Amino acid sequence: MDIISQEITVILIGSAFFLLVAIGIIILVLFYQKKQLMYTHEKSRLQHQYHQELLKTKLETQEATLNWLGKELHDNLGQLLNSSKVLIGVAQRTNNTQETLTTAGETIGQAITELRMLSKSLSQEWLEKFNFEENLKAEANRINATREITMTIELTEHLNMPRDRQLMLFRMVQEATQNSIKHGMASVIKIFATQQDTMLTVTVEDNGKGFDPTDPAKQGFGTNSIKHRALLMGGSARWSSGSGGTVVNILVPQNTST
Amino acid sequence: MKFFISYILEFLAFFANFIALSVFCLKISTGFRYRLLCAYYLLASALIAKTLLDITVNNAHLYSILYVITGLSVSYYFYDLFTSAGKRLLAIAVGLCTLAYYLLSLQNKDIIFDSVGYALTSVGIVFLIFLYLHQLFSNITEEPLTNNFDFWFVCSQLIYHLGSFVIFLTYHRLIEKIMEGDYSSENRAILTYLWGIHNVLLFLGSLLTASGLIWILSRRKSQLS
Repeated sequence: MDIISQEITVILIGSAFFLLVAIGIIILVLFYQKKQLMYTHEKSRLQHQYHQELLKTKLETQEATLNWLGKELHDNLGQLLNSSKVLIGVAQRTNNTQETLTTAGETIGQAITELRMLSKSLSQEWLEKFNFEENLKAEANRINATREITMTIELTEHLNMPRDRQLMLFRMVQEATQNSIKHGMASVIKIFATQQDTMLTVTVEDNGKGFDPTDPAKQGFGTNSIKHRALLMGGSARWSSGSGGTVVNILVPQNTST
Repeated sequence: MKFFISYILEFLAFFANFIALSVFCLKISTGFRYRLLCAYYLLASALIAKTLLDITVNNAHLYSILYVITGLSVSYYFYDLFTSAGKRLLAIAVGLCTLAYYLLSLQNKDIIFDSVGYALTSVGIVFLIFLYLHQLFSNITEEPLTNNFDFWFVCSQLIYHLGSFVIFLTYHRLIEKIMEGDYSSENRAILTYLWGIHNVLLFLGSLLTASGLIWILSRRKSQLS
Protein backbone atom coordinates (compact mmCIF):
# COMPACT_ATOMS: atom_id res chain seq x y z
CA MET A 1 0.00 0.00 0.00
CA ASP A 2 2.81 2.40 0.97
CA ILE A 3 4.84 1.66 -2.15
CA ILE A 4 1.76 2.15 -4.31
CA SER A 5 0.99 5.45 -2.54
CA GLN A 6 4.56 6.60 -3.10
CA GLU A 7 4.32 5.72 -6.77
CA ILE A 8 0.99 7.54 -7.06
CA THR A 9 2.59 10.62 -5.48
CA VAL A 10 5.44 10.48 -8.02
CA ILE A 11 2.92 10.09 -10.86
CA LEU A 12 0.89 13.04 -9.58
CA ILE A 13 3.99 15.22 -9.27
CA GLY A 14 5.03 14.18 -12.79
CA SER A 15 1.57 14.92 -14.18
CA ALA A 16 1.45 18.28 -12.41
CA PHE A 17 4.88 19.12 -13.83
CA PHE A 18 3.85 18.26 -17.40
CA LEU A 19 0.58 20.14 -16.96
CA LEU A 20 2.51 23.22 -15.85
CA VAL A 21 4.83 22.80 -18.85
CA ALA A 22 1.78 22.67 -21.15
CA ILE A 23 0.28 25.80 -19.55
CA GLY A 24 3.69 27.52 -19.73
CA ILE A 25 4.00 26.70 -23.45
CA ILE A 26 0.52 28.15 -24.14
CA ILE A 27 1.29 31.36 -22.23
CA LEU A 28 4.66 31.61 -23.98
CA VAL A 29 3.04 31.20 -27.40
CA LEU A 30 0.48 33.92 -26.68
CA PHE A 31 3.16 36.23 -25.29
CA TYR A 32 5.47 35.58 -28.25
CA GLN A 33 2.71 36.29 -30.77
CA LYS A 34 1.89 39.55 -29.00
CA LYS A 35 5.55 40.57 -29.05
CA GLN A 36 5.88 39.62 -32.71
CA LEU A 37 2.78 41.64 -33.60
CA MET A 38 4.14 44.65 -31.73
CA TYR A 39 7.43 44.28 -33.58
CA THR A 40 5.65 44.03 -36.95
CA HIS A 41 3.56 47.12 -36.18
CA GLU A 42 6.63 49.07 -35.10
CA LYS A 43 8.49 47.98 -38.25
CA SER A 44 5.65 49.03 -40.56
CA ARG A 45 5.30 52.33 -38.63
CA LEU A 46 9.01 53.04 -39.13
CA GLN A 47 8.77 52.07 -42.80
CA HIS A 48 5.83 54.43 -43.24
CA GLN A 49 7.75 57.17 -41.43
CA TYR A 50 10.80 56.51 -43.64
CA HIS A 51 8.73 56.84 -46.82
CA GLN A 52 7.13 60.05 -45.51
CA GLU A 53 10.55 61.44 -44.74
CA LEU A 54 11.83 60.36 -48.15
CA LEU A 55 8.96 62.18 -49.82
CA LYS A 56 9.71 65.27 -47.76
CA THR A 57 13.39 65.00 -48.69
CA LYS A 58 12.53 64.72 -52.38
CA LEU A 59 10.38 67.85 -52.17
CA GLU A 60 13.07 69.74 -50.27
CA THR A 61 15.71 68.75 -52.80
CA GLN A 62 13.44 69.69 -55.70
CA GLU A 63 12.70 73.02 -54.05
CA ALA A 64 16.39 73.66 -53.49
CA THR A 65 17.11 72.72 -57.11
CA LEU A 66 14.41 75.08 -58.37
CA ASN A 67 15.77 77.93 -56.23
CA TRP A 68 19.25 77.31 -57.54
CA LEU A 69 17.85 77.06 -61.08
CA GLY A 70 16.11 80.40 -60.76
CA LYS A 71 19.28 81.97 -59.47
CA GLU A 72 21.37 80.39 -62.24
CA LEU A 73 18.91 81.57 -64.92
CA HIS A 74 19.06 85.09 -63.59
CA ASP A 75 22.70 85.40 -62.57
CA ASN A 76 24.47 83.21 -65.10
CA LEU A 77 22.46 82.38 -68.21
CA GLY A 78 20.68 85.74 -68.20
CA GLN A 79 23.97 87.57 -67.90
CA LEU A 80 25.58 85.54 -70.70
CA LEU A 81 22.68 86.19 -73.07
CA ASN A 82 22.64 89.84 -72.09
CA SER A 83 26.37 90.11 -72.83
CA SER A 84 25.79 88.44 -76.20
CA LYS A 85 23.03 90.92 -77.00
CA VAL A 86 25.28 93.84 -76.04
CA LEU A 87 28.15 92.42 -78.13
CA ILE A 88 25.87 92.01 -81.17
CA GLY A 89 24.67 95.61 -80.65
CA VAL A 90 28.31 96.75 -80.48
CA ALA A 91 29.07 94.81 -83.68
CA GLN A 92 26.20 96.53 -85.45
CA ARG A 93 27.49 99.97 -84.45
CA THR A 94 31.29 99.52 -84.86
CA ASN A 95 33.74 98.41 -87.58
CA ASN A 96 35.35 95.68 -85.42
CA THR A 97 32.53 93.30 -86.35
CA GLN A 98 34.45 89.99 -86.76
CA GLU A 99 36.13 89.97 -83.35
CA THR A 100 33.02 91.20 -81.53
CA LEU A 101 30.82 88.60 -83.22
CA THR A 102 33.34 85.84 -82.35
CA THR A 103 33.17 86.88 -78.70
CA ALA A 104 29.38 87.03 -78.90
CA GLY A 105 29.36 83.53 -80.46
CA GLU A 106 31.61 82.18 -77.67
CA THR A 107 29.31 83.76 -75.05
CA ILE A 108 26.26 82.17 -76.68
CA GLY A 109 28.12 78.81 -76.80
CA GLN A 110 28.84 79.15 -73.07
CA ALA A 111 25.17 79.94 -72.51
CA ILE A 112 24.18 76.80 -74.43
CA THR A 113 26.54 74.69 -72.26
CA GLU A 114 25.06 76.23 -69.11
CA LEU A 115 21.57 75.55 -70.45
CA ARG A 116 22.42 71.89 -71.06
CA MET A 117 23.65 71.59 -67.48
CA LEU A 118 20.47 73.19 -66.20
CA SER A 119 18.25 70.91 -68.27
CA LYS A 120 20.04 67.93 -66.71
CA SER A 121 18.92 69.18 -63.29
CA LEU A 122 15.32 69.28 -64.46
CA SER A 123 15.32 65.70 -65.70
CA GLN A 124 12.27 63.64 -64.67
CA GLU A 125 14.41 60.64 -63.69
CA TRP A 126 16.56 62.66 -61.35
CA LEU A 127 15.90 60.36 -58.39
CA GLU A 128 16.67 57.21 -60.37
CA LYS A 129 19.94 58.79 -61.45
CA PHE A 130 20.64 60.49 -58.13
CA ASN A 131 24.27 60.19 -57.18
CA PHE A 132 25.48 61.28 -53.76
CA GLU A 133 29.04 62.00 -54.87
CA GLU A 134 28.09 64.00 -57.99
CA ASN A 135 25.50 66.07 -56.12
CA LEU A 136 27.88 66.73 -53.26
CA LYS A 137 30.55 67.92 -55.72
CA ALA A 138 27.99 70.20 -57.40
CA GLU A 139 27.04 71.55 -53.98
CA ALA A 140 30.73 72.20 -53.23
CA ASN A 141 31.15 73.98 -56.56
CA ARG A 142 28.19 76.23 -55.78
CA ILE A 143 29.50 77.07 -52.32
CA ASN A 144 33.08 77.56 -53.55
CA ALA A 145 31.83 79.91 -56.29
CA THR A 146 31.04 82.47 -53.60
CA ARG A 147 34.83 82.66 -52.89
CA GLU A 148 34.06 83.29 -49.23
CA ILE A 149 33.79 79.67 -48.17
CA THR A 150 36.05 76.78 -49.13
CA MET A 151 34.43 73.40 -49.21
CA THR A 152 36.53 70.30 -49.84
CA ILE A 153 35.33 66.74 -50.39
CA GLU A 154 37.32 63.55 -49.84
CA LEU A 155 35.28 60.53 -50.77
CA THR A 156 37.56 57.55 -51.07
CA GLU A 157 34.75 55.06 -50.46
CA HIS A 158 32.31 54.22 -53.22
CA LEU A 159 28.75 54.44 -51.99
CA ASN A 160 26.96 51.13 -52.42
CA MET A 161 23.43 52.01 -51.38
CA PRO A 162 20.03 52.54 -53.03
CA ARG A 163 19.32 55.93 -54.66
CA ASP A 164 16.65 56.89 -52.11
CA ARG A 165 19.11 56.30 -49.26
CA GLN A 166 21.78 58.30 -51.11
CA LEU A 167 19.28 61.16 -51.38
CA MET A 168 18.52 61.00 -47.64
CA LEU A 169 22.24 61.01 -46.84
CA PHE A 170 22.82 63.92 -49.20
CA ARG A 171 20.09 65.95 -47.47
CA MET A 172 21.69 65.29 -44.10
CA VAL A 173 25.10 66.44 -45.32
CA GLN A 174 23.48 69.45 -47.03
CA GLU A 175 21.71 70.32 -43.78
CA ALA A 176 24.98 70.04 -41.85
CA THR A 177 26.86 72.29 -44.31
CA GLN A 178 24.05 74.85 -44.23
CA ASN A 179 24.27 74.86 -40.42
CA SER A 180 28.04 75.42 -40.69
CA ILE A 181 27.51 78.39 -43.00
CA LYS A 182 24.43 79.95 -41.37
CA HIS A 183 25.04 79.39 -37.67
CA GLY A 184 28.73 78.49 -37.46
CA MET A 185 29.92 81.27 -39.80
CA ALA A 186 32.52 78.82 -41.08
CA SER A 187 34.95 79.66 -43.84
CA VAL A 188 36.31 76.14 -44.35
CA ILE A 189 34.17 73.02 -44.59
CA LYS A 190 35.62 69.55 -45.06
CA ILE A 191 33.55 66.51 -45.96
CA PHE A 192 35.00 63.00 -45.89
CA ALA A 193 33.72 59.48 -45.67
CA THR A 194 35.12 56.36 -44.01
CA GLN A 195 33.80 52.84 -43.98
CA GLN A 196 34.01 50.26 -41.21
CA ASP A 197 32.41 46.89 -41.95
CA THR A 198 28.94 47.74 -43.18
CA MET A 199 28.76 51.17 -41.56
CA LEU A 200 29.58 54.29 -43.51
CA THR A 201 30.59 57.43 -41.63
CA VAL A 202 30.25 60.75 -43.38
CA THR A 203 31.95 63.55 -41.48
CA VAL A 204 31.23 67.25 -41.95
CA GLU A 205 33.93 69.34 -40.27
CA ASP A 206 34.05 73.14 -40.12
CA ASN A 207 36.13 75.91 -38.54
CA GLY A 208 33.10 77.85 -37.35
CA LYS A 209 32.35 79.32 -33.95
CA GLY A 210 30.86 76.05 -32.67
CA PHE A 211 27.99 75.45 -30.29
CA ASP A 212 27.05 73.40 -27.25
CA PRO A 213 25.57 70.14 -28.62
CA THR A 214 24.22 69.22 -25.16
CA ASP A 215 22.16 72.40 -24.92
CA PRO A 216 18.61 71.60 -26.13
CA ALA A 217 18.03 75.28 -26.96
CA LYS A 218 20.84 75.10 -29.51
CA GLN A 219 19.38 72.09 -31.27
CA GLY A 220 17.29 73.56 -34.01
CA PHE A 221 15.18 72.03 -36.75
CA GLY A 222 18.21 71.18 -38.89
CA THR A 223 19.98 69.24 -36.14
CA ASN A 224 16.84 67.32 -35.21
CA SER A 225 16.14 66.62 -38.87
CA ILE A 226 19.61 65.05 -39.31
CA LYS A 227 19.14 62.94 -36.16
CA HIS A 228 15.67 61.79 -37.25
CA ARG A 229 16.77 60.89 -40.78
CA ALA A 230 19.85 59.02 -39.57
CA LEU A 231 17.66 57.04 -37.15
CA LEU A 232 15.21 56.16 -39.94
CA MET A 233 18.12 54.89 -42.02
CA GLY A 234 19.12 52.62 -39.15
CA GLY A 235 22.08 54.77 -38.15
CA SER A 236 22.88 57.71 -35.91
CA ALA A 237 24.33 61.23 -35.93
CA ARG A 238 26.82 62.68 -33.42
CA TRP A 239 28.08 66.21 -32.85
CA SER A 240 31.26 67.39 -31.22
CA SER A 241 31.84 71.10 -31.07
CA GLY A 242 34.15 73.68 -29.54
CA SER A 243 35.60 77.10 -30.21
CA GLY A 244 37.66 75.60 -33.09
CA GLY A 245 34.62 74.40 -34.99
CA THR A 246 32.07 71.61 -35.24
CA VAL A 247 32.35 68.00 -36.34
CA VAL A 248 29.22 66.11 -37.38
CA ASN A 249 29.54 62.33 -37.77
CA ILE A 250 26.70 60.68 -39.67
CA LEU A 251 26.75 56.88 -39.36
CA VAL A 252 24.56 54.87 -41.70
CA PRO A 253 24.52 51.21 -42.74
CA GLN A 254 25.58 50.79 -46.38
CA ASN A 255 23.67 47.80 -47.69
CA THR A 256 20.37 47.98 -45.85
CA SER A 257 17.32 48.33 -48.05
CA THR A 258 14.31 50.06 -46.43
CA MET B 1 -18.56 12.61 -6.30
CA LYS B 2 -15.69 10.09 -6.66
CA PHE B 3 -17.82 8.01 -9.00
CA PHE B 4 -18.68 11.10 -11.02
CA ILE B 5 -15.04 12.11 -11.45
CA SER B 6 -13.74 8.60 -12.09
CA TYR B 7 -16.42 7.46 -14.53
CA ILE B 8 -18.99 10.04 -15.67
CA LEU B 9 -16.58 12.95 -16.19
CA GLU B 10 -14.73 11.10 -18.96
CA PHE B 11 -17.93 10.62 -20.92
CA LEU B 12 -18.96 14.23 -20.26
CA ALA B 13 -15.59 15.53 -21.49
CA PHE B 14 -15.80 13.63 -24.77
CA PHE B 15 -19.43 14.58 -25.24
CA ALA B 16 -18.71 18.27 -24.46
CA ASN B 17 -16.05 18.21 -27.13
CA PHE B 18 -18.53 16.65 -29.55
CA ILE B 19 -21.08 19.41 -28.79
CA ALA B 20 -18.45 22.17 -29.12
CA LEU B 21 -17.23 20.86 -32.48
CA SER B 22 -20.80 20.35 -33.73
CA VAL B 23 -21.61 23.98 -32.90
CA PHE B 24 -18.38 25.06 -34.58
CA CYS B 25 -19.29 23.07 -37.73
CA LEU B 26 -22.82 24.50 -37.75
CA LYS B 27 -21.94 28.13 -37.09
CA ILE B 28 -18.41 28.75 -38.33
CA SER B 29 -16.73 26.15 -40.53
CA THR B 30 -17.76 22.90 -42.17
CA GLY B 31 -14.19 21.89 -42.98
CA PHE B 32 -13.65 18.14 -43.20
CA ARG B 33 -11.15 18.06 -40.35
CA TYR B 34 -13.78 19.50 -37.96
CA ARG B 35 -16.46 17.07 -39.17
CA LEU B 36 -14.01 14.22 -38.68
CA LEU B 37 -13.28 15.40 -35.13
CA CYS B 38 -17.04 15.57 -34.52
CA ALA B 39 -17.38 11.96 -35.61
CA TYR B 40 -14.37 10.98 -33.50
CA TYR B 41 -15.76 12.57 -30.35
CA LEU B 42 -19.16 10.98 -30.95
CA LEU B 43 -17.53 7.57 -31.35
CA ALA B 44 -15.33 8.16 -28.28
CA SER B 45 -18.42 9.17 -26.26
CA ALA B 46 -20.16 5.98 -27.41
CA LEU B 47 -17.15 3.85 -26.41
CA ILE B 48 -16.96 5.45 -22.95
CA ALA B 49 -20.75 5.10 -22.56
CA LYS B 50 -20.31 1.39 -23.29
CA THR B 51 -17.70 1.07 -20.53
CA LEU B 52 -20.13 2.79 -18.16
CA LEU B 53 -22.84 0.21 -18.80
CA ASP B 54 -20.92 -2.31 -16.71
CA ILE B 55 -17.91 -0.97 -14.88
CA THR B 56 -16.94 -4.35 -13.44
CA VAL B 57 -15.99 -5.94 -16.79
CA ASN B 58 -12.58 -5.54 -18.40
CA ASN B 59 -12.67 -2.68 -20.88
CA ALA B 60 -8.99 -2.52 -21.90
CA HIS B 61 -9.80 -3.44 -25.51
CA LEU B 62 -12.26 -0.53 -25.74
CA TYR B 63 -9.58 1.86 -24.49
CA SER B 64 -7.17 0.41 -27.07
CA ILE B 65 -9.71 1.19 -29.81
CA LEU B 66 -10.04 4.66 -28.28
CA TYR B 67 -6.29 5.42 -28.51
CA VAL B 68 -6.06 4.21 -32.10
CA ILE B 69 -9.03 6.30 -33.26
CA THR B 70 -7.61 9.25 -31.31
CA GLY B 71 -4.25 8.83 -33.03
CA LEU B 72 -5.78 8.51 -36.50
CA SER B 73 -8.32 11.36 -36.17
CA VAL B 74 -5.96 13.85 -34.56
CA SER B 75 -3.19 12.96 -37.05
CA TYR B 76 -5.59 13.63 -39.93
CA TYR B 77 -6.64 16.89 -38.25
CA PHE B 78 -3.00 18.04 -38.17
CA TYR B 79 -2.39 16.71 -41.69
CA ASP B 80 -5.17 19.01 -42.89
CA LEU B 81 -3.94 21.90 -40.74
CA PHE B 82 -0.33 21.80 -41.91
CA THR B 83 0.70 23.80 -44.94
CA SER B 84 4.10 22.25 -45.67
CA ALA B 85 4.57 18.85 -47.30
CA GLY B 86 7.20 17.80 -44.74
CA LYS B 87 4.92 18.44 -41.77
CA ARG B 88 2.05 16.65 -43.53
CA LEU B 89 4.27 13.63 -44.05
CA LEU B 90 5.11 13.60 -40.33
CA ALA B 91 1.37 13.75 -39.47
CA ILE B 92 0.79 10.69 -41.69
CA ALA B 93 3.73 8.95 -40.00
CA VAL B 94 2.27 9.56 -36.52
CA GLY B 95 -1.11 8.18 -37.60
CA LEU B 96 0.46 5.13 -39.24
CA CYS B 97 2.70 4.45 -36.20
CA THR B 98 -0.35 4.43 -33.91
CA LEU B 99 -2.23 2.10 -36.25
CA ALA B 100 0.78 -0.20 -36.72
CA TYR B 101 1.34 -0.43 -32.97
CA TYR B 102 -2.34 -1.21 -32.39
CA LEU B 103 -2.31 -3.97 -35.03
CA LEU B 104 0.83 -5.46 -33.50
CA SER B 105 -0.60 -5.27 -29.98
CA LEU B 106 -3.66 -7.24 -31.10
CA GLN B 107 -1.42 -10.34 -31.30
CA ASN B 108 -0.33 -9.96 -27.67
CA LYS B 109 -3.80 -10.69 -26.28
CA ASP B 110 -2.93 -8.46 -23.31
CA ILE B 111 -5.99 -7.79 -21.19
CA ILE B 112 -4.48 -4.87 -19.27
CA PHE B 113 -4.63 -1.21 -20.23
CA ASP B 114 -2.13 -0.54 -23.05
CA SER B 115 0.20 2.08 -21.62
CA VAL B 116 2.67 2.00 -24.51
CA GLY B 117 -0.09 2.54 -27.08
CA TYR B 118 -1.48 5.51 -25.15
CA ALA B 119 1.96 7.01 -24.45
CA LEU B 120 2.95 6.58 -28.11
CA THR B 121 -0.22 8.34 -29.27
CA SER B 122 0.30 11.16 -26.76
CA VAL B 123 3.95 11.67 -27.72
CA GLY B 124 2.97 11.69 -31.40
CA ILE B 125 0.21 14.24 -30.85
CA VAL B 126 2.43 16.48 -28.70
CA PHE B 127 5.06 16.30 -31.44
CA LEU B 128 2.44 17.39 -34.03
CA ILE B 129 1.36 20.20 -31.68
CA PHE B 130 4.93 21.52 -31.62
CA LEU B 131 5.03 21.37 -35.41
CA TYR B 132 1.80 23.38 -35.50
CA LEU B 133 3.25 25.98 -33.12
CA HIS B 134 6.29 26.21 -35.40
CA GLN B 135 3.95 26.80 -38.34
CA LEU B 136 2.17 29.52 -36.36
CA PHE B 137 5.42 31.31 -35.59
CA SER B 138 6.59 31.02 -39.18
CA ASN B 139 3.48 32.84 -40.44
CA ILE B 140 2.55 35.44 -37.84
CA THR B 141 -0.71 37.14 -38.80
CA GLU B 142 -2.43 40.31 -37.60
CA GLU B 143 -5.33 38.19 -36.29
CA PRO B 144 -4.96 37.43 -32.55
CA LEU B 145 -4.41 33.74 -31.81
CA THR B 146 -7.40 33.74 -29.47
CA ASN B 147 -9.65 34.26 -32.52
CA ASN B 148 -8.33 31.04 -34.02
CA PHE B 149 -10.36 27.95 -33.06
CA ASP B 150 -7.53 25.61 -34.09
CA PHE B 151 -5.29 27.29 -31.53
CA TRP B 152 -7.81 26.67 -28.72
CA PHE B 153 -8.28 23.05 -29.78
CA VAL B 154 -4.53 22.44 -30.03
CA CYS B 155 -4.05 23.99 -26.54
CA SER B 156 -6.69 21.66 -25.12
CA GLN B 157 -4.91 18.70 -26.72
CA LEU B 158 -1.59 19.86 -25.31
CA ILE B 159 -2.99 20.12 -21.78
CA TYR B 160 -4.63 16.71 -22.00
CA HIS B 161 -1.88 14.73 -23.69
CA LEU B 162 1.08 16.30 -21.89
CA GLY B 163 -0.72 16.36 -18.51
CA SER B 164 -1.83 12.72 -18.78
CA PHE B 165 1.41 11.39 -20.26
CA VAL B 166 2.86 10.13 -16.94
CA ILE B 167 -0.48 8.49 -16.03
CA PHE B 168 -0.62 6.74 -19.42
CA LEU B 169 2.97 5.58 -19.13
CA THR B 170 2.67 4.11 -15.64
CA TYR B 171 -0.93 2.85 -15.57
CA HIS B 172 -0.15 -0.60 -17.03
CA ARG B 173 2.68 -1.20 -14.57
CA LEU B 174 0.53 -0.06 -11.63
CA ILE B 175 -2.29 -2.43 -12.58
CA GLU B 176 0.20 -5.27 -12.97
CA LYS B 177 1.77 -4.49 -9.60
CA ILE B 178 -1.58 -4.41 -7.83
CA MET B 179 -2.73 -7.58 -9.56
CA GLU B 180 0.47 -9.39 -8.65
CA GLY B 181 0.46 -8.11 -5.07
CA ASP B 182 -2.40 -6.88 -2.96
CA TYR B 183 -5.53 -6.73 -5.14
CA SER B 184 -7.48 -5.00 -2.40
CA SER B 185 -10.38 -2.62 -2.83
CA GLU B 186 -8.16 0.18 -1.46
CA ASN B 187 -5.56 -0.37 -4.15
CA ARG B 188 -8.22 -0.56 -6.82
CA ALA B 189 -9.68 2.68 -5.51
CA ILE B 190 -6.24 4.29 -5.94
CA LEU B 191 -6.21 3.21 -9.58
CA THR B 192 -9.71 4.58 -10.13
CA TYR B 193 -8.67 7.80 -8.40
CA LEU B 194 -5.67 8.09 -10.73
CA TRP B 195 -7.89 7.62 -13.77
CA GLY B 196 -10.12 10.32 -12.25
CA ILE B 197 -7.16 12.72 -12.45
CA HIS B 198 -6.84 11.82 -16.14
CA ASN B 199 -10.57 12.54 -16.53
CA VAL B 200 -10.15 15.96 -14.91
CA LEU B 201 -7.40 16.81 -17.40
CA LEU B 202 -9.57 15.58 -20.26
CA PHE B 203 -12.43 17.71 -19.00
CA LEU B 204 -10.14 20.74 -18.60
CA GLY B 205 -9.17 20.29 -22.25
CA SER B 206 -12.78 20.13 -23.38
CA LEU B 207 -13.56 23.21 -21.25
CA LEU B 208 -10.75 25.05 -23.03
CA THR B 209 -12.14 24.07 -26.44
CA ALA B 210 -15.65 25.15 -25.40
CA SER B 211 -14.32 28.44 -23.96
CA GLY B 212 -12.49 29.11 -27.21
CA LEU B 213 -15.64 28.49 -29.19
CA ILE B 214 -17.71 30.79 -26.93
CA TRP B 215 -15.00 33.47 -27.18
CA ILE B 216 -14.89 33.27 -30.99
CA LEU B 217 -18.69 33.32 -31.29
CA SER B 218 -18.97 36.34 -28.96
CA ARG B 219 -16.24 38.16 -30.92
CA ARG B 220 -18.03 37.49 -34.19
CA LYS B 221 -21.31 38.67 -32.70
CA SER B 222 -19.76 41.91 -31.40
CA GLN B 223 -18.11 42.52 -34.78
CA LEU B 224 -21.42 42.07 -36.61
CA SER B 225 -23.40 44.34 -34.29
